[in-house]
Amino acid sequence: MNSVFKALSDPTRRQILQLLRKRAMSAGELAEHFALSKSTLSAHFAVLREADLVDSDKSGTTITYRLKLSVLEDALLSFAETVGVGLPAEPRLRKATGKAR
Amino acid sequence: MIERKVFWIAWALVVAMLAAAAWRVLLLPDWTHLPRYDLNGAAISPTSSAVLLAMPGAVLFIMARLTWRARTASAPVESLRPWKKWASVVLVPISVILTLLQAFIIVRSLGLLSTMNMLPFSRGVFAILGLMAMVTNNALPKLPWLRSRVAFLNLDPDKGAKFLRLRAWQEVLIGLVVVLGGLFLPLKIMPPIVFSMVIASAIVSLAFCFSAKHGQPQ
Repeated sequence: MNSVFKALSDPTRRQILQLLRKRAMSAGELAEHFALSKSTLSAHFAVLREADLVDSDKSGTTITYRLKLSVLEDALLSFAETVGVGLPAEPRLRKATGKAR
Repeated sequence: MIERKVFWIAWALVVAMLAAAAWRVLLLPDWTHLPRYDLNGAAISPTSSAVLLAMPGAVLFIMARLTWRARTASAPVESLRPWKKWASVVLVPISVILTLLQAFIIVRSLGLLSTMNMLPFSRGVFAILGLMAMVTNNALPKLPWLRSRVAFLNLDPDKGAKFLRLRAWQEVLIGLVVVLGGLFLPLKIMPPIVFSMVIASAIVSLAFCFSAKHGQPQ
């Protein structure tokens, strides 16, 4: 359970999970949504895989990621998103008061 | 879908429940009615003996559902492995709990334990069954989606995964209502509440499958 909390505590990893909620995506498709280096994103994917929150499927050079959240983990993700866990204090406050973009 | 060992354990418990039911019925002067007793041990209006078939029937229904799902799946053997594990986690505890309930019904019909207050016991049974529903269905979305030979359930992996998530959320919420309602609400209203929630969740699931089938490219 520790690895799940660790994985969900980071806003980028939560955003990855939110994107995977819509459909399975390749690493490249996910990377388009972030201004992060490949190695940083790979590290995030590794944390998510270790927590058993995503499933990866390699075909050729493409790795496709699928969501693998239990109901409890799904609820924790929504809670962490609502509260803004891991965000700096100011954006968290904005999010809580509904003034975020 | 069911591991061999688990399959035989469940079957053994069903046979034991049916044997116990047959034995109890053979002892009755009128085999259609099972005696009941109030808190003072005095006989009250009997209930139908068919109640003795409810517990083995429930186990057989779960086994049949799991077997049907495996028979209609068109998936590689590796995809079935996590489902087999999950089925074991579901089937063994449910079979044991229902066997204990069957034993309790038979013991009560013999006039034993008749002074026991049924209210806390019934609330406990609701809470345990609700918790079981929550724990077992919590992990449902982690299982791989199995394509089905039944056209209606033959969703693509993305929609199949969404369908599993929807089913899991529904079952966990029903479990939560059973736990909380069983503990805090009058027990008389629990059967209609659970029944209507099960029907509503079945309708939502069917609607999801229908819209997913019509929305996905063939």
